[in-house]
Amino acid sequence: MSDLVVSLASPVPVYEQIRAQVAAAVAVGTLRPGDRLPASRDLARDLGIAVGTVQRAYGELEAAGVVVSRRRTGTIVAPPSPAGAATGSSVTSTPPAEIVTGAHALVAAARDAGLDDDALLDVVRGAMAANRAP
Amino acid sequence: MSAVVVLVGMAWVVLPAILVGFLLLLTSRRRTDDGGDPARAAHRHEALMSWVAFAMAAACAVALVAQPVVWPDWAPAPGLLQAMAPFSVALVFCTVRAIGERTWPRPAGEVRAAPLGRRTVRSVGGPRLVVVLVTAALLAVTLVACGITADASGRAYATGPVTLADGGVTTGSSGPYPGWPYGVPMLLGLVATVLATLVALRAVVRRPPLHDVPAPHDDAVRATSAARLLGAVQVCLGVALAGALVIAGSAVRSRGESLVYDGGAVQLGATLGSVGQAAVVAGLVIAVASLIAGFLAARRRPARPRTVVATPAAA
Repeated sequence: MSDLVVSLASPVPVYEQIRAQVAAAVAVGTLRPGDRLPASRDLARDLGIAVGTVQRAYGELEAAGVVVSRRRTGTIVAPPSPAGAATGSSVTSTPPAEIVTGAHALVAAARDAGLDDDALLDVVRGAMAANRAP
Repeated sequence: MSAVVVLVGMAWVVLPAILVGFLLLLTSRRRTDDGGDPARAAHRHEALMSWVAFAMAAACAVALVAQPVVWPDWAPAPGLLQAMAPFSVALVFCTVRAIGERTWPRPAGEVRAAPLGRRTVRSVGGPRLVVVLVTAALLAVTLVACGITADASGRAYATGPVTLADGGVTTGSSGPYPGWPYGVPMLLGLVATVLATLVALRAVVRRPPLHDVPAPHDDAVRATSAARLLGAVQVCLGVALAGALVIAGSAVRSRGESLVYDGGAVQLGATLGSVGQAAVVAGLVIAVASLIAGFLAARRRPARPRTVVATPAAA
């Protein structure tokens, strides 16, 4: 079971923090397809925030196809599907296994090198900017 | 004289309460990897809640057991209050624990964490919950079986007319026996106990993560709460089941021995004697096993690591 951490002092809205962390957990395989997310009321109670905040995050995740909500089982992680399948685009939302493995290796190397999270993110953003897709 | 009785009664509450308090204090002592001051405070709070619940339950037990066995104008059967004591004790323990769950601090601080998975009564209760439910089911089956096999008074075990070797016929009954006068109130008490246990366990499950307490230690405190709750209920249900089995088994064995003594229906008498003896032994084993399980449940649960997802949104 992974932990979700939100900062009320962050300029990033809390619902966006929740959305981003759930999406990240799904992307790296910490949350697998079929895993059940906590009910919005339970998560809101655990975090001491409004239920609507969690519902908004779940709603955006559902709209992005990351999770699906069902009446009996609640909110579960959606099975992987190429985002571009419907539109014919070559871009996919599900990272291949080697990308996830490479990301873990990059983070481990950064930790070994004593790099903090912000510095590592700067490196990744820089690399993305240098190799921006046309 | 009455002062002596009161003092003796208080000793039955105070001494076990001191013993359990000492035990809980020992299990809450500082360890090498204890999660820091907030985690230690959480364990102390949990130990205090358990101690208060135990003291209240022990007081309830003494109050009920000390009552007269026979209430001529009220109780349908002698010793009914004593028979209901395990359920009353469990209800008191569960109620105090459920109320105590409301004393935990609410989420506070700018940075808050929560597990990204579902906590359920089943996942937090674990195998102890299964054992408690199995014990409850066995007790229900035992009470129904005793109710069906009891005689018309519901307080004795009887065999029908049995033909002896000399051609004579004998009937007889042995008691006490937990028939319907005991079984119905005990079944109601059992249902109330199971419901109260699930309500208290749900309160443990729904408790928000503790601020500044590392996730593995928060899980450990929650697991400790659940184990102590279920351990106490297990002792109560185990004692109730053991009592029913021992009393019923003794009556059945006694009836079997009477048949053998009468010189007829030796086979039936021997069978009843064996069944009764087996029930008595099973009851004693269940009582000892439940007490051991309850004792082991008082231990503090160890902290186990949990995966943490860190993303820029939380930074």
